[in-house]
Amino acid sequence: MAEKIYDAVIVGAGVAGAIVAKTLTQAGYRVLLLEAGLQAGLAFAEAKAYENYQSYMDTFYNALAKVPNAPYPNLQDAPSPNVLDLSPIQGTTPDTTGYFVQKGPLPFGSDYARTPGGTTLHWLGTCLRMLPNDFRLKTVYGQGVDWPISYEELKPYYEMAEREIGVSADVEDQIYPNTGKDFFGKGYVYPMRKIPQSYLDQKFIKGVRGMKVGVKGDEYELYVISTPQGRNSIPNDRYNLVGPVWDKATQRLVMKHSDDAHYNPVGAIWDPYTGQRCEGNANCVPICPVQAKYNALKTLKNARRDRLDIVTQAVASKVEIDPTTGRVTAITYKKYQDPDSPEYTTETARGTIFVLAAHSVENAKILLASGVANSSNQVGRNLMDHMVFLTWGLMPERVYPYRGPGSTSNIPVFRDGEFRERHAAFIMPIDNWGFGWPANAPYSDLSAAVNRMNLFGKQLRRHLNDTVARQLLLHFECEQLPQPENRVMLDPRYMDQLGNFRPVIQYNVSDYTRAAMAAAKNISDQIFARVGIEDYSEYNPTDADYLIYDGVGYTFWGAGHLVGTHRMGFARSDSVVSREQRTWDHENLFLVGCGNMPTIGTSNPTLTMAALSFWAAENIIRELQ
Amino acid sequence: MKKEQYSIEPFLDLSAILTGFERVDLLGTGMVDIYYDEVVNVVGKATSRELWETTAQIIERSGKDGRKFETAIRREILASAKFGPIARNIIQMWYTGIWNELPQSWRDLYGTSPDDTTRIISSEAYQQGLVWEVIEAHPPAAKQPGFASWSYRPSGDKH
Ligand SMILES: Cc1cc2nc3c(=O)[nH]c(=O)nc-3n(C[C@H](O)[C@H](O)[C@H](O)COP(=O)(O)OP(=O)(O)OC[C@H]3O[C@@H](n4cnc5c(N)ncnc54)[C@H](O)[C@@H]3O)c2cc1C
Ligand code: SF4
Repeated sequence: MAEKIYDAVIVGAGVAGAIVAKTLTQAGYRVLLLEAGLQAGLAFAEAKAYENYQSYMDTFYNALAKVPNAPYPNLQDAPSPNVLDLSPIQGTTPDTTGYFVQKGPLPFGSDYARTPGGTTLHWLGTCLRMLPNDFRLKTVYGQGVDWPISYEELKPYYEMAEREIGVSADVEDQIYPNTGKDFFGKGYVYPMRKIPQSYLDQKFIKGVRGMKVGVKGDEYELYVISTPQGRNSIPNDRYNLVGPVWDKATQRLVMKHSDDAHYNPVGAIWDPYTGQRCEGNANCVPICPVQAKYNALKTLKNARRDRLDIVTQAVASKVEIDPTTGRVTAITYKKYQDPDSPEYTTETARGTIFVLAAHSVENAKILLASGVANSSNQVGRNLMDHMVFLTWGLMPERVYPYRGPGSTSNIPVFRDGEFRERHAAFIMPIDNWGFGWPANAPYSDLSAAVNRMNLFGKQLRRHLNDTVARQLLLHFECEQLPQPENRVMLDPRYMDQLGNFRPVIQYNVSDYTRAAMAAAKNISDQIFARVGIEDYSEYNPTDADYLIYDGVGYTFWGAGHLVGTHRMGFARSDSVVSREQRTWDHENLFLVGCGNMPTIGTSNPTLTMAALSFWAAENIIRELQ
Repeated sequence: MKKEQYSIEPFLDLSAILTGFERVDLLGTGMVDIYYDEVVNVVGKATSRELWETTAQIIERSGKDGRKFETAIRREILASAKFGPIARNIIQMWYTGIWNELPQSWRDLYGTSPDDTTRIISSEAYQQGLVWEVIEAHPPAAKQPGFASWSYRPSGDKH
């Protein structure tokens, strides 16, 4: 199979790879997809798909620490990072506990999943578009870099991504700072109606209604909106788009308007009638039991299977180049039978076009290991994430958290504004799962009540109901700017058992982002005072990502939004891919994934990345014609 | 395996007073036999029998309701060096499906079992955790309440 020459060879069966595979096969091209994870994870026949997913569920139920990667197999032959491996870095000695070799000074706190379907298996599913000013940060605020693509240009591809992922939201709710009336196309509606906002959101909204917060002498009026989410809700009967399809005349991918277009929610891969609606399992991270939440297997299932060959347990390790033409001739991969055994066979995949879609860190790793696409010396650099700063406290009355999707509302006020000249922008999601993330609630509450407060019986019940049911978690996702020193590197001293490199990560947070955390804490204090929330937030030097700004300590958490490691740009001198998503150095090598994004803005990156994946697929089809 | 009525009854009564749930609620989880076995297996037959006997004696003396019963449970079981840690584990087991390793001081005095490790007893145990009902939610990834349920109070009214 490997010696067959494909129109395109794609590495990685996550959302980026799946979108390109689906789009190319539907346009009639023959595609080979290489995937590092286990064969079982790509079963689409109903019984097998169900059986495999239930094995993830069972692993989840039995895991003591229900972290994002808890349900999924951790393969020795294709390891994944795990947040359980995080701790503060001591001095200059790298922390080699987990898959990442953490050089610091701050440990990189996010993970991803190397399993078929990729990290969308455990993503939350928040699907906000980036704002127009996010694409021109340098021009407007003198920070970071501009994108070589504008919001206006990307808009039609956002519509493709919103259909593919199946986003639920009401356009009328989506009010953001500094965006004009034409942010959404005229008459545009999301495929499904908004996900109902939680009871907790409603109580919180009441508490902050009309509130003005002061930040450094400026006043901002707070407002709360519902969050667009990639999970199934009630189809919007005004939605009338189908596609995208390849339009020969214009040489573009286009969505077609059709009056009898209906959006059908895409259910579980083992049964289309399961997961037609979010059922409130409150477990989107790490696993949605009914697949009401989007994952990339849904896209892959709808690729044209007669045009698609998939090889699993295939870890791409090298991009081979013809030195005279600079074109990619093949991708070398290591095929293993048993994920725990170091044995493998070396195989090659040949094609006309090659696409790396192995996730931002793994893409950078493959490029660096192959010594390709790096004439700019930017591969692996500019690693960004959202710094998740959390504040938590007890509401004056019960709001009943631990129900519904992880977050159903957000405060968008600080996503854009002149303050971006001085400190980072941030979005403020309101979380639905109590103190679970920062404090391992309700387990910690139970343990304290039983072991320290010596409560039992009815008194114990009353105490937990009185306190845990009042837990509120606020969440600030702070933008990080591209910095060349924040980077993924390779070091032959750190290899996995197949002889592939482990990512060596050097990482820090600049004052521009630290200042945003300080502003966030200040805003949180004002909100807590207004609503009467008893503050339980606590940041300790023993936390993995603890930092000091202006003499005050803050802790942040990783968001899982790994961006920037092979960024696009205007010129080959300072970027890895062009606006076509093609590497400047090798004309038949395309990259997809969040690594292409030059800046991160304040939206969770996957929707934008999915839009860019359609954009890349369009350029690839044009090339293949 | 059919449990001796004598042992299961005091275990169930003890579980009810410790957790604050009715016997019928505990029976409804389907976990009674499993948790009983768990305790006996980890702390041993002799110690567990002593605990059931002590419980039975308390009930004989003070009945199963009211302050008197609660006080006796606190004094003779929760405050006991031997029974206290087991009783606190029984509460947490019912609430979360987790068996917690007993404190080292207890293990030093009363023995260690290879099964005395912190772990989730089973998938079913996790899904039957009572803490979720106490906070009027449901175990994440199980017993899902349905579309839009989270936008109402758990009792079903909007405000
Ligand atoms: C906890 C968490 C929550 C998140 N929530 C959100 C959210 O709410 N909204 C949002 O926008 N984003 C969210 N994200 C981010 C989102 O999950 C990622 O942006 C997205 O999954 C990236 O897609 P990808 O296809 O580039 O990579 P992945 O999804 O990671 O897929 C990469 C694929 O490539 C395979 N692969 C890797 N290496 C190789 C190799 N060498 N050879 C062959 N195959 C390989 C992997 O097995 C995998 O299948 C979240 C992330 C985390 C961790
Ligand atoms: S709330 Fe539940 S059903 Fe809905 S997406 Fe999350 S896990 Fe799935």
